[in-house]
Amino acid sequence: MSWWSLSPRVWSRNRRWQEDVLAAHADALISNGAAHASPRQLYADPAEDELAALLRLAERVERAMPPVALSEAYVAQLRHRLLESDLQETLSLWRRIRQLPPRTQLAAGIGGATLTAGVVILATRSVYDVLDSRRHRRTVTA
Amino acid sequence: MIESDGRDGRDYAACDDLQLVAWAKDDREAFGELYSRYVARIYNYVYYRTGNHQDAEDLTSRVFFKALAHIGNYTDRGVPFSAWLYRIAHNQVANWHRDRGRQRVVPLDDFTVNSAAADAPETAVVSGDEEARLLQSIRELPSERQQLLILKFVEHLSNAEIGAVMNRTEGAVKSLYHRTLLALRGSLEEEASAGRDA
Repeated sequence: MSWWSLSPRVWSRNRRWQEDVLAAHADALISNGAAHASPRQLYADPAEDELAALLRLAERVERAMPPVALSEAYVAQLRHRLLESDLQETLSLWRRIRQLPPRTQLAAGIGGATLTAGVVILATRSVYDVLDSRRHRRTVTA
Repeated sequence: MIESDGRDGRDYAACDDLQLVAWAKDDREAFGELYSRYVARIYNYVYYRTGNHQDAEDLTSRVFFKALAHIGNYTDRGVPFSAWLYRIAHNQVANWHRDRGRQRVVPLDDFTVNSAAADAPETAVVSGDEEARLLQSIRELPSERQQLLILKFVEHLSNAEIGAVMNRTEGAVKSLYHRTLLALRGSLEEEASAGRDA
């Protein structure tokens, strides 16, 4: 049974019904073309003018948007660039790190943690130094 | 383009996308097969979003380089590889529009269609002017509505496939399609009445 042979009386004439008809029409358009998809003759009822207008518009849109061809030279060239490009250039930093050997990753992790700890200790020490010098100044003033 | 007997005798052409994606993480030939399968579709998508071949070529190459760089992060969570690629393309086009700061109009001279559909007799029914006006109106629609029309009429995707690309349910896609046609008709009518008044 073709989708348009379902009587509109069976369906409630509401927005949902219009959406279903338009969606089915679009699917028929892309698979069979306008000649097989058009149910316009079945919608002579003026109440369905709006739907008929939308169906006609969908057919115009479908005709106005045919697939475009791309140049074979471009396809071949891009393929060559993709296949020959340096993988390291295209990989994200995180993926590059994950691709390192486990021992290198461990060494990098330990190095990173040591460096962070060093920075934290230095920062803490300078804060303590500032506090100490203030305390010392207050004591001298008193 | 048929690629077979690649690394370890892999038959790329016979494999589904998921297998190719798994291989492509460290096998360029597998990525090459994915590229061959989708380059025309991505190009068409980008072309109808940008309106000219030069930018479409540039953005298509960016999409595939981005895909190559991030294919290691692709995990199958029910979203097909094609939908993942379309999302990259969508983001690239959005960046392109943002960088340009305005939406370009499809120049009619630029709209050189080379397909069987273009030669079909019914194509001639829509005159060049009408077609250009229609395409212009489509390109003035919000981005997601343009995306929907392209995925449906250029890429011939089902509503379920469009839903996967746009992260919407099938019902939401149907509803968006209805609203898109209403908006497009409104815009064409407005333009026609403005033309009559002028």
